[in-house]
Amino acid sequence: MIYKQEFRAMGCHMLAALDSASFEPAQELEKVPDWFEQWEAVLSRFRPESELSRLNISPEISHPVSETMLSVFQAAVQAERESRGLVTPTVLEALVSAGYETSFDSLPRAQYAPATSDLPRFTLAEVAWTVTPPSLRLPAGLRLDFGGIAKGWAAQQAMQRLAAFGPALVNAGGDIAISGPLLDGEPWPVDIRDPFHPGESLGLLMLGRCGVATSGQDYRRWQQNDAWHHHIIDPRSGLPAETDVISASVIAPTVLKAETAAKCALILGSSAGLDWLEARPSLAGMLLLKDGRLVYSSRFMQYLWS
Amino acid sequence: MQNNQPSKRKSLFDMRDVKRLIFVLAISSTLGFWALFSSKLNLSSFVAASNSVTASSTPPSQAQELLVLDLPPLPTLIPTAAALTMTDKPASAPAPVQKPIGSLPAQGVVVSAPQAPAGGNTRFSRSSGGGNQSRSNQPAAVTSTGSSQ
Repeated sequence: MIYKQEFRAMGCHMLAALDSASFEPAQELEKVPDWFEQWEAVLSRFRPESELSRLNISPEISHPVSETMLSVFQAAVQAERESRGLVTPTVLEALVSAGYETSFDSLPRAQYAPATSDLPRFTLAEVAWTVTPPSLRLPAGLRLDFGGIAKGWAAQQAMQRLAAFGPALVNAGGDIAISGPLLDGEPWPVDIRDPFHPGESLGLLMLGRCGVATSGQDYRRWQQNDAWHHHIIDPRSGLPAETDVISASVIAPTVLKAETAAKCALILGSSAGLDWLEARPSLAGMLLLKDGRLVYSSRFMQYLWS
Repeated sequence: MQNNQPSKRKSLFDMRDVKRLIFVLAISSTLGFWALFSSKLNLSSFVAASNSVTASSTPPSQAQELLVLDLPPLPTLIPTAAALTMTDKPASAPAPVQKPIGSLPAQGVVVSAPQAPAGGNTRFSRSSGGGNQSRSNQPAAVTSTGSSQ
């Protein structure tokens, strides 16, 4: 029996599911919204009182930070390293310049402010940090926004906590962490949403222990000076990525790797993105292009229901 | 003088009869009480024996069977329905457990039964550009992935 808990957090729809023969273990699901609330209170850039906001407004000072903050920061360092700088939390200024200043729910969809690419570029190598005691020190001019990394990290954490009670799946706004097959040994059926046809599916994935994530420019987009912008910033240009990929869905050993790879493939575009996926044997991806075509990496088909 | 002796003898005889009567009454009442208490003891032991047989579901001993046969039935001492319920149930049957109220599904937690894959023999062609490819034997998705919403 699959028990589900659905709620909204981090500006996204969340779902936690647990396969259990009895209800008692599934009661753990009721704790999941509180976990996400605690993490959001630390990691949100839209909450002035959050740990991240306090860190961002006080650069060049070494801040003692929570284990949560340090863990997410380390995940971001890993993502930046794996993507060779394409996926980084250091592009907040570019994101704000492009118009993504407030939470997406309250973001004006039409704006009239110039986006600029003349912004200082940073990498996480410029952040001083220690593990014992946990501390972070940002250079002047850098603000962090963990974005999808925070969602993937939260999905992974929640899944690991639930996995003690049975096969678990946590979906944090499209970033999905799966602990392993269902109790009967079958894989979890997971749909890929079709952004062109809401309510329809691009395919059904049958997944065991893994992570899957989709990065897209189809939903979080807005108009600035009569031009459409989206929230995927290409750190090379400091502007929303110009790409022929509408959305990229990637299956990886963990949801954090899947999130990083999906964003990387989207920024690189269909040709370079597929090459990037093929060069990594642990990844499988599917790209939806602007012209409506679907392209797959060679390992993706084995996960599709047929 | 001679007239007084028979009357005296008569009076003594009467006293002896009274004593004899009292003796007989004492003996008979003693025997009666003994018989009565003896019956109550048997009743008590019968009830105890019946209860223990019912509760343990073990066959009564031969002596107990004889005792049961000798005594009249006691219809009101053992509830018939309860006794039947207990004795008719197999010893290995699990006791029904009522769920406490606190364990009822909480609001917000949705229960669903997964639909297992049908075996993978059915094929379908994939059309570029998407569209709904659901089939009748396709398992229902637990969730979906897409751009953050």
